Amino acid sequence: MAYSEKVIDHYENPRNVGSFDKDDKSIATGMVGAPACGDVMKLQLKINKDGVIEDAKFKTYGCGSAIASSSLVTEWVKGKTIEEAARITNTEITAELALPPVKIHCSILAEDAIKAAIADYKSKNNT
Amino acid sequence: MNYFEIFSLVPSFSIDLVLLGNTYRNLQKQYHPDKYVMSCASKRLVAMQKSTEINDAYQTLKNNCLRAQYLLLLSGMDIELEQRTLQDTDFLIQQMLWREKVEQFRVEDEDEITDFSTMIVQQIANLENEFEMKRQQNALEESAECVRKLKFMLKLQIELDQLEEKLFD
Repeated sequence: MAYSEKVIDHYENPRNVGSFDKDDKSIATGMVGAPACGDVMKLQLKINKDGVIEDAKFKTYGCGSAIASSSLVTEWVKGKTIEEAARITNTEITAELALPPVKIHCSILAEDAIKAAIADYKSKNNT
Repeated sequence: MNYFEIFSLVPSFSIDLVLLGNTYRNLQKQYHPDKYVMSCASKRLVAMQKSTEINDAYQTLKNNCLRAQYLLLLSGMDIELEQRTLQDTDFLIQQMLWREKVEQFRVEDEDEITDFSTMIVQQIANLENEFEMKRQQNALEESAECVRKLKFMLKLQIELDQLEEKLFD
Protein backbone atom coordinates (compact mmCIF):
# COMPACT_ATOMS: atom_id res chain seq x y z
CA MET A 1 0.00 0.00 0.00
CA ALA A 2 1.37 3.38 -0.95
CA TYR A 3 1.27 6.17 1.58
CA SER A 4 0.46 9.67 0.40
CA GLU A 5 3.20 12.30 0.55
CA LYS A 6 1.47 14.03 3.44
CA VAL A 7 1.35 10.84 5.46
CA ILE A 8 5.03 10.24 4.81
CA ASP A 9 5.85 13.81 5.80
CA HIS A 10 4.01 13.53 9.13
CA TYR A 11 5.42 10.06 9.72
CA GLU A 12 9.00 11.11 9.11
CA ASN A 13 8.68 14.48 10.84
CA PRO A 14 5.90 14.06 13.38
CA ARG A 15 4.81 17.37 14.90
CA ASN A 16 4.29 17.83 18.62
CA VAL A 17 5.35 14.43 19.89
CA GLY A 18 5.47 14.24 23.67
CA SER A 19 3.52 14.55 26.87
CA PHE A 20 2.14 17.11 29.30
CA ASP A 21 1.47 16.48 32.99
CA LYS A 22 -1.91 14.76 32.89
CA ASP A 23 -2.71 15.86 36.46
CA ASP A 24 -2.49 19.56 35.52
CA LYS A 25 -6.02 21.00 35.40
CA SER A 26 -5.35 22.87 32.15
CA ILE A 27 -4.31 19.64 30.41
CA ALA A 28 -6.90 17.50 28.64
CA THR A 29 -5.87 13.91 27.98
CA GLY A 30 -7.59 11.66 25.45
CA MET A 31 -6.65 7.99 25.29
CA VAL A 32 -8.12 5.86 22.53
CA GLY A 33 -7.32 2.59 20.82
CA ALA A 34 -8.32 0.93 17.57
CA PRO A 35 -9.08 -2.76 18.11
CA ALA A 36 -8.90 -3.39 14.36
CA CYS A 37 -5.13 -2.95 14.42
CA GLY A 38 -4.18 -2.63 18.10
CA ASP A 39 -3.01 0.97 17.69
CA VAL A 40 -2.96 3.17 20.78
CA MET A 41 -3.12 6.98 20.72
CA LYS A 42 -2.70 9.58 23.45
CA LEU A 43 -3.62 13.16 22.63
CA GLN A 44 -3.09 15.97 25.12
CA LEU A 45 -4.36 19.53 24.83
CA LYS A 46 -3.24 22.52 26.84
CA ILE A 47 -6.32 24.68 27.28
CA ASN A 48 -6.32 28.24 28.60
CA LYS A 49 -9.04 29.80 30.77
CA ASP A 50 -10.84 31.13 27.69
CA GLY A 51 -11.27 27.59 26.41
CA VAL A 52 -8.68 28.04 23.66
CA ILE A 53 -6.23 25.24 22.88
CA GLU A 54 -2.77 26.76 23.26
CA ASP A 55 -0.71 23.66 22.65
CA ALA A 56 -1.10 19.99 21.81
CA LYS A 57 1.05 16.89 22.08
CA PHE A 58 0.59 13.29 21.09
CA LYS A 59 2.07 9.88 21.47
CA THR A 60 0.90 7.12 19.14
CA TYR A 61 1.91 3.50 18.85
CA GLY A 62 0.65 2.43 15.49
CA CYS A 63 1.06 2.51 11.75
CA GLY A 64 2.13 5.47 9.62
CA SER A 65 -1.47 6.55 9.04
CA ALA A 66 -2.25 6.58 12.75
CA ILE A 67 0.87 8.62 13.50
CA ALA A 68 0.12 11.03 10.65
CA SER A 69 -3.52 11.44 11.74
CA SER A 70 -2.54 12.30 15.30
CA SER A 71 0.32 14.56 14.21
CA LEU A 72 -2.05 16.41 11.88
CA VAL A 73 -4.71 17.02 14.52
CA THR A 74 -2.16 18.47 16.95
CA GLU A 75 -1.49 21.11 14.29
CA TRP A 76 -5.16 21.65 13.52
CA VAL A 77 -6.40 22.09 17.09
CA LYS A 78 -3.89 24.74 18.10
CA GLY A 79 -5.58 28.13 18.40
CA LYS A 80 -9.05 26.60 18.21
CA THR A 81 -11.60 26.74 21.00
CA ILE A 82 -12.61 23.37 22.41
CA GLU A 83 -15.98 23.72 20.66
CA GLU A 84 -14.25 24.26 17.30
CA ALA A 85 -11.85 21.38 17.91
CA ALA A 86 -14.75 19.07 18.76
CA ARG A 87 -16.12 19.66 15.27
CA ILE A 88 -13.08 18.20 13.49
CA THR A 89 -14.22 15.03 11.75
CA ASN A 90 -12.47 11.94 10.56
CA THR A 91 -13.64 12.77 7.02
CA GLU A 92 -11.55 15.96 7.03
CA ILE A 93 -8.52 14.04 8.32
CA THR A 94 -8.99 11.31 5.72
CA ALA A 95 -9.26 13.89 2.94
CA GLU A 96 -6.24 15.91 4.06
CA LEU A 97 -4.00 12.82 4.30
CA ALA A 98 -5.58 10.98 1.34
CA LEU A 99 -6.03 7.87 3.48
CA PRO A 100 -7.20 4.71 1.70
CA PRO A 101 -10.42 3.04 2.94
CA VAL A 102 -8.53 0.42 4.99
CA LYS A 103 -6.92 3.23 7.00
CA ILE A 104 -10.05 5.19 7.79
CA HIS A 105 -10.03 3.78 11.32
CA CYS A 106 -6.80 5.77 11.90
CA SER A 107 -8.62 9.02 11.25
CA ILE A 108 -11.51 7.88 13.47
CA LEU A 109 -8.96 7.24 16.17
CA ALA A 110 -7.70 10.83 15.90
CA GLU A 111 -11.21 12.30 15.90
CA ASP A 112 -12.18 10.24 18.94
CA ALA A 113 -8.94 11.24 20.69
CA ILE A 114 -9.95 14.92 20.45
CA LYS A 115 -13.41 14.12 21.79
CA ALA A 116 -11.99 11.98 24.60
CA ALA A 117 -9.57 14.77 25.55
CA ILE A 118 -12.35 17.34 25.68
CA ALA A 119 -14.50 15.00 27.78
CA ASP A 120 -11.56 14.57 30.15
CA TYR A 121 -11.12 18.36 30.38
CA LYS A 122 -14.79 18.90 31.12
CA SER A 123 -14.92 16.23 33.79
CA LYS A 124 -11.76 17.66 35.39
CA ASN A 125 -13.10 21.20 35.42
CA ASN A 126 -16.77 20.41 36.01
CA THR A 127 -17.98 22.53 33.11
CA MET B 1 -23.05 -25.26 7.38
CA ASN B 2 -20.96 -23.15 9.75
CA TYR B 3 -17.22 -23.65 10.25
CA PHE B 4 -17.67 -25.76 13.38
CA GLU B 5 -20.18 -28.01 11.66
CA ILE B 6 -17.75 -28.65 8.81
CA PHE B 7 -15.46 -30.27 11.39
CA SER B 8 -18.33 -31.89 13.35
CA LEU B 9 -17.49 -29.70 16.35
CA VAL B 10 -19.80 -28.05 18.86
CA PRO B 11 -19.31 -24.26 18.63
CA SER B 12 -17.06 -23.43 21.56
CA PHE B 13 -13.85 -21.57 22.27
CA SER B 14 -12.21 -24.65 23.73
CA ILE B 15 -11.75 -27.11 20.92
CA ASP B 16 -9.38 -30.01 20.41
CA LEU B 17 -6.79 -28.55 18.03
CA VAL B 18 -5.22 -31.96 17.32
CA LEU B 19 -8.59 -33.35 16.33
CA LEU B 20 -9.24 -30.23 14.23
CA GLY B 21 -5.96 -30.77 12.37
CA ASN B 22 -6.68 -34.45 11.74
CA THR B 23 -10.21 -33.83 10.50
CA TYR B 24 -8.88 -31.04 8.28
CA ARG B 25 -6.37 -33.32 6.58
CA ASN B 26 -8.99 -36.03 6.07
CA LEU B 27 -11.46 -33.58 4.57
CA GLN B 28 -8.83 -32.06 2.31
CA LYS B 29 -7.96 -35.51 1.01
CA GLN B 30 -11.64 -36.21 0.37
CA TYR B 31 -12.14 -33.05 -1.68
CA HIS B 32 -8.68 -32.81 -3.24
CA PRO B 33 -8.88 -31.56 -6.86
CA ASP B 34 -6.79 -34.55 -8.02
CA LYS B 35 -9.67 -36.86 -7.14
CA TYR B 36 -11.99 -34.97 -9.46
CA VAL B 37 -9.82 -34.81 -12.58
CA MET B 38 -12.09 -37.27 -14.37
CA SER B 39 -15.33 -35.77 -13.08
CA CYS B 40 -17.59 -33.38 -14.94
CA ALA B 41 -17.04 -29.65 -14.69
CA SER B 42 -19.84 -29.04 -12.24
CA LYS B 43 -18.57 -31.72 -9.82
CA ARG B 44 -15.07 -30.32 -10.11
CA LEU B 45 -16.40 -26.88 -9.26
CA VAL B 46 -18.31 -28.14 -6.24
CA ALA B 47 -15.24 -29.98 -4.95
CA MET B 48 -13.10 -26.90 -5.43
CA GLN B 49 -15.56 -24.71 -3.54
CA LYS B 50 -15.77 -27.28 -0.76
CA SER B 51 -11.99 -27.44 -0.55
CA THR B 52 -11.75 -23.65 -0.28
CA GLU B 53 -14.43 -23.59 2.39
CA ILE B 54 -12.66 -26.28 4.42
CA ASN B 55 -9.47 -24.29 4.19
CA ASP B 56 -11.11 -21.01 5.28
CA ALA B 57 -12.81 -22.82 8.16
CA TYR B 58 -9.55 -24.39 9.29
CA GLN B 59 -7.59 -21.12 9.17
CA THR B 60 -10.32 -19.44 11.24
CA LEU B 61 -10.80 -22.15 13.84
CA LYS B 62 -7.18 -22.98 14.52
CA ASN B 63 -6.42 -19.37 15.54
CA ASN B 64 -7.70 -18.44 19.01
CA CYS B 65 -8.51 -14.81 18.22
CA LEU B 66 -10.16 -15.60 14.88
CA ARG B 67 -12.12 -18.44 16.48
CA ALA B 68 -13.36 -16.05 19.19
CA GLN B 69 -14.34 -13.51 16.53
CA TYR B 70 -16.13 -16.21 14.58
CA LEU B 71 -18.10 -17.27 17.66
CA LEU B 72 -19.20 -13.65 18.05
CA LEU B 73 -20.16 -13.61 14.38
CA LEU B 74 -22.32 -16.71 14.89
CA SER B 75 -24.08 -14.78 17.66
CA GLY B 76 -24.72 -11.97 15.22
CA MET B 77 -21.86 -9.65 16.16
CA ASP B 78 -19.31 -8.74 13.49
CA ILE B 79 -16.43 -6.97 15.19
CA GLU B 80 -14.04 -7.35 12.25
CA LEU B 81 -15.49 -4.41 10.36
CA GLU B 82 -16.13 -2.30 13.43
CA GLN B 83 -14.75 1.22 13.22
CA ARG B 84 -15.44 2.19 16.81
CA THR B 85 -12.56 2.98 19.13
CA LEU B 86 -11.84 1.51 22.51
CA GLN B 87 -11.90 4.09 25.30
CA ASP B 88 -11.14 2.10 28.44
CA THR B 89 -8.58 4.56 29.81
CA ASP B 90 -6.96 2.27 32.40
CA PHE B 91 -6.51 -0.47 29.83
CA LEU B 92 -5.06 1.97 27.28
CA ILE B 93 -2.66 3.61 29.76
CA GLN B 94 -1.37 0.14 30.55
CA GLN B 95 -0.98 -0.60 26.83
CA MET B 96 0.93 2.67 26.40
CA LEU B 97 3.28 1.84 29.30
CA TRP B 98 3.93 -1.63 27.97
CA ARG B 99 4.70 -0.30 24.51
CA GLU B 100 7.08 2.27 25.98
CA LYS B 101 8.76 -0.57 27.81
CA VAL B 102 9.17 -2.59 24.61
CA GLU B 103 10.66 0.50 22.95
CA GLN B 104 13.25 0.81 25.70
CA PHE B 105 14.42 -2.80 25.91
CA ARG B 106 18.08 -3.34 25.10
CA VAL B 107 20.19 -6.46 24.50
CA GLU B 108 21.22 -6.59 28.19
CA ASP B 109 17.56 -6.79 29.27
CA GLU B 110 17.21 -10.36 28.03
CA ASP B 111 15.87 -11.73 31.34
CA GLU B 112 13.37 -8.93 31.67
CA ILE B 113 12.24 -9.46 28.08
CA THR B 114 11.64 -13.15 28.83
CA ASP B 115 9.53 -12.23 31.88
CA PHE B 116 7.65 -9.64 29.86
CA SER B 117 6.93 -12.18 27.15
CA THR B 118 5.58 -14.64 29.76
CA MET B 119 3.39 -11.88 31.19
CA ILE B 120 1.89 -11.21 27.74
CA VAL B 121 1.12 -14.91 27.24
CA GLN B 122 -0.60 -14.94 30.64
CA GLN B 123 -2.61 -11.80 29.86
CA ILE B 124 -3.72 -13.31 26.56
CA ALA B 125 -4.80 -16.53 28.33
CA ASN B 126 -6.75 -14.48 30.90
CA LEU B 127 -8.60 -12.57 28.20
CA GLU B 128 -9.38 -15.79 26.34
CA ASN B 129 -10.77 -17.37 29.51
CA GLU B 130 -12.81 -14.29 30.31
CA PHE B 131 -14.13 -14.25 26.75
CA GLU B 132 -15.36 -17.84 26.97
CA MET B 133 -16.87 -17.27 30.41
CA LYS B 134 -18.80 -14.18 29.29
CA ARG B 135 -19.86 -15.89 26.09
CA GLN B 136 -21.29 -18.84 27.96
CA GLN B 137 -23.20 -16.38 30.15
CA ASN B 138 -24.58 -14.81 26.95
CA ALA B 139 -22.91 -11.52 27.87
CA LEU B 140 -22.24 -10.77 24.21
CA GLU B 141 -20.95 -7.21 24.51
CA GLU B 142 -18.65 -8.08 27.41
CA SER B 143 -17.25 -11.06 25.54
CA ALA B 144 -16.68 -8.86 22.48
CA GLU B 145 -14.79 -6.39 24.66
CA CYS B 146 -12.41 -9.22 25.64
CA VAL B 147 -11.69 -9.93 21.97
CA ARG B 148 -11.07 -6.23 21.27
CA LYS B 149 -8.59 -6.13 24.16
CA LEU B 150 -7.08 -9.38 22.97
CA LYS B 151 -6.20 -7.68 19.68
CA PHE B 152 -4.12 -5.07 21.52
CA MET B 153 -2.29 -7.80 23.43
CA LEU B 154 -1.59 -9.71 20.22
CA LYS B 155 -0.23 -6.52 18.65
CA LEU B 156 2.02 -6.02 21.66
CA GLN B 157 3.19 -9.61 21.31
CA ILE B 158 4.06 -9.05 17.64
CA GLU B 159 6.01 -5.92 18.58
CA LEU B 160 7.94 -7.81 21.23
CA ASP B 161 8.68 -10.65 18.79
CA GLN B 162 10.00 -8.16 16.24
CA LEU B 163 12.17 -6.53 18.88
CA GLU B 164 13.58 -9.89 19.99
CA GLU B 165 14.41 -10.71 16.39
CA LYS B 166 16.18 -7.39 16.01
CA LEU B 167 18.12 -7.71 19.25
CA PHE B 168 19.06 -11.36 19.32
CA ASP B 169 19.20 -12.69 15.76
